[in-house]
Amino acid sequence: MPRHAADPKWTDPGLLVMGSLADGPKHGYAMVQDLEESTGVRLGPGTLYGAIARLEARGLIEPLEAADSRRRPYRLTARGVEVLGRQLADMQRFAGIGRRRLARLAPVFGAGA
Amino acid sequence: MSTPTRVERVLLAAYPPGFRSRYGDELAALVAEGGSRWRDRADLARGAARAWMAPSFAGDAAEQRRARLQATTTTVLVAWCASLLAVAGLSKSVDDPRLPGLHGAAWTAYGTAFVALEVLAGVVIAAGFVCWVAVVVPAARARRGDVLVPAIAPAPIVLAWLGVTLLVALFAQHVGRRHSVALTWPRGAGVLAVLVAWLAVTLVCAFGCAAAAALALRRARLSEARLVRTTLVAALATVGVAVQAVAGTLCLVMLLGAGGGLAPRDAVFSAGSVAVLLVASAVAALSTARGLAAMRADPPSPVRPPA
Repeated sequence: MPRHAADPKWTDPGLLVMGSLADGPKHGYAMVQDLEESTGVRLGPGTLYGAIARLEARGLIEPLEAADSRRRPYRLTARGVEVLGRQLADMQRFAGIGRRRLARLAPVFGAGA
Repeated sequence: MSTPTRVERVLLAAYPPGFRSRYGDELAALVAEGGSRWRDRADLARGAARAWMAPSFAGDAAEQRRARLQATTTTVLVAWCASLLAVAGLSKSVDDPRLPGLHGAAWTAYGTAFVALEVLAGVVIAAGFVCWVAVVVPAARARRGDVLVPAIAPAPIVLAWLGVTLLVALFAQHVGRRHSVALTWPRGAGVLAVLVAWLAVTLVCAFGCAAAAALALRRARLSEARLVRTTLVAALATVGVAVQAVAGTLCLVMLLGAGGGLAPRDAVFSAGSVAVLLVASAVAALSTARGLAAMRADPPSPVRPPA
């Protein structure tokens, strides 16, 4: 079944950026490409840098020194690692419960449920 | 890598100054690398609006607090200038010539808006002068032209505006002496054009003054202690803008309810003025609340480097 734009989403830009940086430091364009490949979500430039600004202000990510100020890489801070780990654990628990509940609905709605 | 198009450059310039100085180069590079898509341009516009509405400040806790207080000061400065123009617009539309409905409670509300304007303008200008000296004196000692030029710019702007206003007044007196002036199309087209041009010059001068002062403040990088003082002045100005907005709204509501209501032209101008007052008041109140919250907030715990 195709996805609809109004369907509930898990694609919070801040979480996506942190998830991308969990793989290692990246600059803006590398994050966009990584997220498009790994999740199919394409963050627009305004959304991406809005998320980067909020995460940096909260001390969850930090910039690294770069020779080219136009391609400054970012990395997760220790607090960012902790927050991302907690969020992912919550999502995993939620996904597990959701899948078990869906499995109980399978006999009623078919294999897709 | 291509370069951003003109539309994209305008959208990038629409971001707040603090955001541009911190992320502007990176954002421009990303826009250039991503190619020109209308979806991305719409996203840039949304991002700029959000950066103004809910700004984030990079740096350590002290720098974030300093940036927040500075943003509050400059935002309220611009809102205050807008409210001055709006009260002048309200005055022109309901009190020149005075509308028949402008008496009783409507007159009290109108008078309150003006008293608030005059009292607060006096206080804000006096306090603003102290802040101005705090910016100009160290900049002059350090021979910092990048601060001095925008800090002194409001003076020639105001002088130029006074000169234009004097010319317009002389023109109006000259025309009025020869025949009655009708501000209607097409009979009074010349007078109407002069009036519209004067209004445009007034708007440009007011926002030029606000923008120059904001630029000087940003470049001067005042200490947090000084910014606390400018934020308190901004809070005072916000109270004045809010009183003007409430009184202006009450005045308009009472005029609309008065016998005969308002002529369409008066209704448009007075409602427009009150709308500007309400927006300026909301923006100033939101920004002041954030500034005062930043003054009260405990500094966040320091960020440790990753293991």
